[in-house]
Amino acid sequence: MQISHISVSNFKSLMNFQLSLHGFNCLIGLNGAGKSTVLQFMDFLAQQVKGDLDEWLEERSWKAMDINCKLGKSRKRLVTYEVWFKLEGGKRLLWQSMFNPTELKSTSEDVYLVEQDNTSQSLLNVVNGKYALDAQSSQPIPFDYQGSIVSQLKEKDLPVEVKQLKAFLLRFRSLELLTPQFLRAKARNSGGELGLGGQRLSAFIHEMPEEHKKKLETLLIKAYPKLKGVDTRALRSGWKELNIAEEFSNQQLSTEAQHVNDGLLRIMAILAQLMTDHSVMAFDEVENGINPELIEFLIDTLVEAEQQVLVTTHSPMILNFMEDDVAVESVQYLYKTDDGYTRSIPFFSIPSIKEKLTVMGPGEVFIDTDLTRLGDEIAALTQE
Amino acid sequence: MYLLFSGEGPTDMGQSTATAEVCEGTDFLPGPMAWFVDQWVERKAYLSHIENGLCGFIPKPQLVARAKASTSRKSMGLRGKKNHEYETRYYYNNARAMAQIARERPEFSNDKVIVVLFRDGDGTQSAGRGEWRAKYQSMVDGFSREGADTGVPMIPRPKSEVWLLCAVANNYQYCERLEDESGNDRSQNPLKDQLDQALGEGATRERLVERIQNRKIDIERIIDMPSLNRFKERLDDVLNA
Repeated sequence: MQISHISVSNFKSLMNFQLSLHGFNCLIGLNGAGKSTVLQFMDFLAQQVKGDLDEWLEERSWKAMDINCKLGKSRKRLVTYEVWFKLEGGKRLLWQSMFNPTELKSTSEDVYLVEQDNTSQSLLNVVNGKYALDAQSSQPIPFDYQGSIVSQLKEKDLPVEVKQLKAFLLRFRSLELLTPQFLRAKARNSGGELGLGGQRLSAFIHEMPEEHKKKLETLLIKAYPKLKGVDTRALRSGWKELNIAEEFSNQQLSTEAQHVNDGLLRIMAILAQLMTDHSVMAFDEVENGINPELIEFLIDTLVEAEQQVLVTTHSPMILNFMEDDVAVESVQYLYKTDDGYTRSIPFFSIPSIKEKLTVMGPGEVFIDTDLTRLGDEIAALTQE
Repeated sequence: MYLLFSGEGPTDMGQSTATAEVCEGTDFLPGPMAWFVDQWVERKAYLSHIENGLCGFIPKPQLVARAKASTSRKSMGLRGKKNHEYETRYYYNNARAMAQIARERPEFSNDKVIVVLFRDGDGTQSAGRGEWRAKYQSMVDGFSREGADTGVPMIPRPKSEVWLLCAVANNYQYCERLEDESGNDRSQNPLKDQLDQALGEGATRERLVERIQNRKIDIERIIDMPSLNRFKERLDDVLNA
């Protein structure tokens, strides 16, 4: 299962915003173009099926009113979105929803199963305080909820594909705020997840199955040949400590996470996440703290990951280490229209960019292009 | 002496009927810009290199393939304090690739190869962005990087149509302002259409070449177009060296 397309309106700067997605996806664009907003929206989507929107807002220190688009004259409150999922065997799922930020729930919602020949059947319908499953007769909603009704309906009642959709989104993970001080801190337990900023890394690795730990070590040694192993131990108080063993001239040196370099910790967090059963992984500014020699390793790992991966970057090196076909398919350029709305376009579909790619690497095209003036060309294209 | 050409299409440097990296003889159908080069060289060399088969043509796909093969994932041209300009690498990389091919010619070591690379100053690759001067310099730098000091950039501002329009629409007068026209083919009055109108018929390679050969379009009389003058000066320098 994979998310293949999203459209959204009235979520921060996303208004009539469209984005097509593949297995590996990379968002680029100037500061403030809306890259992080897209990641936030993806996380918002995932939260819909978890339900607790209060907690989601709190984790980000947002108020409900921060969700809405502040541009233009319209003061519509509803966030509307449409998400397409690709299923095995060519079928697709379409999830449409209207989210009311005052009530913090989707007051109107539909899930359709769309066959290859585009015929569709309704799997879920929510409207006017009533819901219906599998196109059966609708019934009043007997409980209160936040986010999507899917968060509260009993698993056994859900149609198979809706269950799949929910499970998929529950396994979405965004590491949009990965920060060294969080990665370094000791933790008691991880609850099977890293925090948005990489909190609980020591406990997360401590709790990993032994085979995953071994795999993580092998991968890390590929990136850092001096590394001999990754070790965690439980302290008496229940805190978990993360240690890195390195070897310099036959001398073993063990370093506690507190003193390990940022790049290694970040790579470790990213790799550890890829070993989980997460469905979609999002990394904001994936290049941060990682030295150029490791960029190729990082990109190869992310492109080949089993999960759907979404990264944002400002780094031409990240782009230059993509194969052209990967870059053509996966790099989306985000920009703002004159009135401030975020838009996306496949970067290498822009004629000048496509032409330049014939004689340059993808990163070289990126750094050679005056992005502040690229809008003129895109505007001319979209007018046609 | 040997002339090596490469360009964008039939109505500038010409086209090939083969897929070799360097097409010669009947495999090369020279376009109007190749004839411009040839005539400008003939002033000094007293013979037509095209008519005497002393020239070769690198088709764009072959040049592009060479340029792409030379790019490394690990190194790239970065902008910085020493290089502020945008939209230059396209010119640099194409020039480098052409110089590499030129270096492999036997004439390069035992005679002289004049390398002329044509690219629009403002074509698809830059869509109105970047400075002409920086693009020109990047091409010179690209030639030098590969040790080809006989490289000559042929970069009309914005497109070759303006050089031709100077002759057929402006009667060789007040042509400088033509360089400020938009190179955008989707603009209100695209240069291609203006040229067709001025000629009274479609500006095909054959028709343009015929007019150049019988001097109805005369490169020597186009004197107030800075982008063409820069080309002429550089070609003279290379010929005199």
